[in-house]
Amino acid sequence: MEETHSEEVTPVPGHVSIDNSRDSGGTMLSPVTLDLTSFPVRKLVFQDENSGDDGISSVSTQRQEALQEAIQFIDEKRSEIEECLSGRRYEPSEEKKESTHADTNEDIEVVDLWRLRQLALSRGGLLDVSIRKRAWIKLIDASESILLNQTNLESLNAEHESKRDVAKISDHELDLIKEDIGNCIWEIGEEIRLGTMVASEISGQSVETDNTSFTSFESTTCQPQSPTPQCRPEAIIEDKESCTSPSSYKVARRLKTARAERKKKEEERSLLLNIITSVLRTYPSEVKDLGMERLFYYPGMHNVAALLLISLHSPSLTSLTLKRLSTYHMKDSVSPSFDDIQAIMRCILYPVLEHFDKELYCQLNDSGVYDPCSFALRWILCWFASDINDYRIVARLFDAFLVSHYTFPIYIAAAMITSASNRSRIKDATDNEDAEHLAEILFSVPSAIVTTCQSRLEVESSIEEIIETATNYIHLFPPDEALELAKRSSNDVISSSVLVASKARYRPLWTYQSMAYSDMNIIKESRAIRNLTPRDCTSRQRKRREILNKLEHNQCNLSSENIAISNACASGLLKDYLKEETVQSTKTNVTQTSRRGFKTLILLMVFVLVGIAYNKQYVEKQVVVKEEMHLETIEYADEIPSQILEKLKIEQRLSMAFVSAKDYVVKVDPDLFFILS
Amino acid sequence: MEQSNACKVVLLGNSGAGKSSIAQRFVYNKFNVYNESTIGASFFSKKIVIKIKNAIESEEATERSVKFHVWDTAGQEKYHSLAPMYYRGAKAAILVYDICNKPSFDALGSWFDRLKEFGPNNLQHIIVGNKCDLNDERQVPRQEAEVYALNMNCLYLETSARDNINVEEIFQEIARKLPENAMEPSNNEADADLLRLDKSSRSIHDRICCYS
Repeated sequence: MEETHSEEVTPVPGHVSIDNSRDSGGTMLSPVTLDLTSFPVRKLVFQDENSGDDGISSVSTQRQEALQEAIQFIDEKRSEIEECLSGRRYEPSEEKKESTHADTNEDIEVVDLWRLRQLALSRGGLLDVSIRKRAWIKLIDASESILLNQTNLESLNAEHESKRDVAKISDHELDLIKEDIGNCIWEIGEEIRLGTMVASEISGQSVETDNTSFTSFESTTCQPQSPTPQCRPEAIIEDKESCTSPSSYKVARRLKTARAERKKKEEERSLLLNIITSVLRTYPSEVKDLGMERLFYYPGMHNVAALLLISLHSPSLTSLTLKRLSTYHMKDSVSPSFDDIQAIMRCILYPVLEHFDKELYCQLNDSGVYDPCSFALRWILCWFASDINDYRIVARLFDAFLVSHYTFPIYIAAAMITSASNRSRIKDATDNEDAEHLAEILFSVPSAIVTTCQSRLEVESSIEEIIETATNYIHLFPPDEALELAKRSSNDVISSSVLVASKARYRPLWTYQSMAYSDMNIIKESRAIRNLTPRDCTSRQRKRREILNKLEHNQCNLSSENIAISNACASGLLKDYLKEETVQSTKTNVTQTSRRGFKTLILLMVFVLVGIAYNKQYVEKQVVVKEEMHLETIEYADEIPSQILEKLKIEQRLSMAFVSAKDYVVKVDPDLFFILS
Repeated sequence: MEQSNACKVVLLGNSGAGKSSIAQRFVYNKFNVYNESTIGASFFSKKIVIKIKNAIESEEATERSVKFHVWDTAGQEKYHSLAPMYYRGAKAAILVYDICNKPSFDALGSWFDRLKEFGPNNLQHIIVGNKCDLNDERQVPRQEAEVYALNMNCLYLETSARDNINVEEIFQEIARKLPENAMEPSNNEADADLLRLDKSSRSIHDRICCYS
């Protein structure tokens, strides 16, 4: 019934009035809500407070207090995460301010990942898209691996296709993927737009007083204090038209936007398709260690991919993240059969219920719901991304899942079932012996978390409660214990599952790594390069310095993706590349002729990017290399990689680095071509 | 409540055969050209009223209402090992294939094997060739399927979820063939009325859809 209601009252963007929210029984907008608001959210919040003045009830004041508290909490947590990400040590006292000034301090080099994990799990999670984007990259250790940007994703796919050892996707699978993508429950473009808007509104605290226009949010997205978060959702939200003036649409314009909408949809689909296929085409050799032949698509994966894309704004990062998740957290979902995940769920979900809520467990069992997989499998397979169509909630869950044991979603499922509202609904159905109703209720357990709540604040607090409960569950009754218990179970199904479930599982390094490079570190390195450039510049050197300056200047606008690329180049490429002997060998190859041009630039850019990103000891070496290699000494850049390929067996990394560097150059500053050529 | 009239039905078959479309056509009387493939399974329920001619006193037909619990399973191969979970306690299995897709027809054999091995006893089978609106692209001749169904000793129907052909009939057939003891004639007149009302309102809805 609620659904029909929401269909009738389709809220017009930008016209969410406060009266409306009060009529519907106290619907309140939390400070970080995504509720169809084209307004800056803060403004709404303040209006809400004002309107509370003429209201008489104590409910409104209570609401106000809760709201204030929430705002304060979020602000505090934001600054804490901000500091964590930039590598500063968090000190709640005044010392904090001193340490901010001490740029030279050692501890600004790295991010304490354990603290970040803790923050991701604790109340509020990673708060919003802008933080999530930066934090997830660090949590999955993207800075240490090769990333491609959007165009490269396609070229990678093409490259994949041309190679034989790559995993083949069957036509049938491909059709399935295409069809699923067409039905993705996530409106990617729209979610990104809303997410960016809210993020900018919250981070730009000074902007909130002048409620001038919606258009200004574009400029506030990249605050100077945050070096990476400038969003480059590239193809997705290029269309700025859709963000402006929601009220004054004319018919022609609407038609135009409808067409643009459709085109955008198409783009989104092809992006998702590319992401998923690039993940599935992962080289079989890469997953061999995990005991897998290749990765298999499953329906629901597209929703996970969409959610990641909304959060990360970058197809290549999404692809990488999905790949990472497929090797650990979601390994059982992408395996050829669901036997493993079924076994694990059997060993954990019901035992957890039995352990913490025996009454409910017995009731479920008595009414014939013997196997929790029958309703809960889909939740676990896609981390609830197919069941809860609310970005903030699912992303919050993802925050928690990313940093937890792979069985954590099962504990969340248990916590959802035992949450007060769901529990009472299930009990009602079992008391009435209404089997069909029970099945419906069980299927809707996750979505009920959102639909049964009246206000945003309530939804968010209920999800926090669930996460807290689940964390308690997993602490008090860890997976190992559950397996141990299942071994002794009298239930044949469960005891036979133990064998499958207790298979040893390789845990990848990135899930327990303790450090990652901070954003601060990256900036600092770029400075170091500039300082190391000799004073007595020849004209050529001056040009080079210009480039460096420019690059550093652009650093603020550098998308996280490009930083990741440079980081990746650095770690993967330079480690091998800068060893003395290899430098020698490449030098001889390189110093043959003295022609410059486009390709030279590419190589230069690779080095520059590498230099920016990499940590100190290599930077010095790298500059030496640059000195030796003088720009004009490189002739055919494409010759070089091929030689390096053979020698260093880093073909993939290098060729990717080249392409991304080229793309980057074109994007950032076409003028650079002319300076150098 | 009316437990005795409840009937659990499970839809099986390869992915893309149109199981979800059949379920949706039956329950909501709607059809989406593009359906998201089923994740895990989905559950629907619907009550229908059938007229059964009493063999002994053939003058008057008795009415029965049957409440269907339709479990729509995911067809993807990965899920095949999970299917037993869904057909436990089922009274009927609808095996769906796509008449434009030979492999989906060939797969029926393995479905039967699995049902024999893991399925409940006296499970009713019905073979359904879906998408009969696409007769031009047919890959499985009707006759072949009929012969096969005869061999397997079960009913065969050709349906189209898109054009709403024979979908309701599947469930009526199932209801008719349910063993007597599992059925109790619906005495509840009000209930039956309600359902008829329900039906008529649905047909009005149909018409609205056609005009719009």
